[in-house]
Amino acid sequence: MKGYEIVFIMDPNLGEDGQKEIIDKAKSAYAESGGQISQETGWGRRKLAYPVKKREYGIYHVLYGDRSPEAVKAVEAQFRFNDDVIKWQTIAVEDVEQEHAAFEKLRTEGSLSKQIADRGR
Amino acid sequence: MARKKKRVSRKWVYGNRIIIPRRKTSELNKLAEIPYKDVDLLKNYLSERGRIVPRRITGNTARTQRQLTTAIKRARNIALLSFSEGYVAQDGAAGSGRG
Repeated sequence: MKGYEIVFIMDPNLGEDGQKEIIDKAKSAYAESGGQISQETGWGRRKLAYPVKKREYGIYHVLYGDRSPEAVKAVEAQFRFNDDVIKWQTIAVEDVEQEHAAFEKLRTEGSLSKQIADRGR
Repeated sequence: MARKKKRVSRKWVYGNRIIIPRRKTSELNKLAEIPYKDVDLLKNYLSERGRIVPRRITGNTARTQRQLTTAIKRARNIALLSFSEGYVAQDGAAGSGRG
């Protein structure tokens, strides 16, 4: 299924509740605009490659939705007005399920570069 | 050294030495898609300064290199990779100062 992948970074000092609120808000905004979030994955706290809004760390979260441009617009509008969301990026993907599965694999099995190196041995 | 027995179309002769050019290949060429979230994979294709290594060095095909470039740029955008490494601002104000 064609769709969108929305990655966003939240303030590292947010508690569990604060994170959940942002995620739920984003999901409901997507649903209200006629979209549907099929999958989501929390990536947890990571060090940022460069400081964003004076923060060195961020909490990553990934949403996978169907192809509803209006819904993406609504979610991004919400991010824009929320200071706890420090950065986000939406990309169009050809196959949402496949993309999600690949990400889960990356999280559980580690980098592909490792797998390639192991195969070479 | 094991060399493939495939016939090579070109060879150069320098005096008594014969040089058979071998095509470089990259493991990336075998992937159907390059995941931009795989930071450790992408880092293999960046220079110390954080620049993208040309395909003349890595052996990527044109198609792969295009996909790689997109993946790296996406990763940079979402702060998984830095835009530049090892730059220290002279006045100590701007830049990450790391590296």
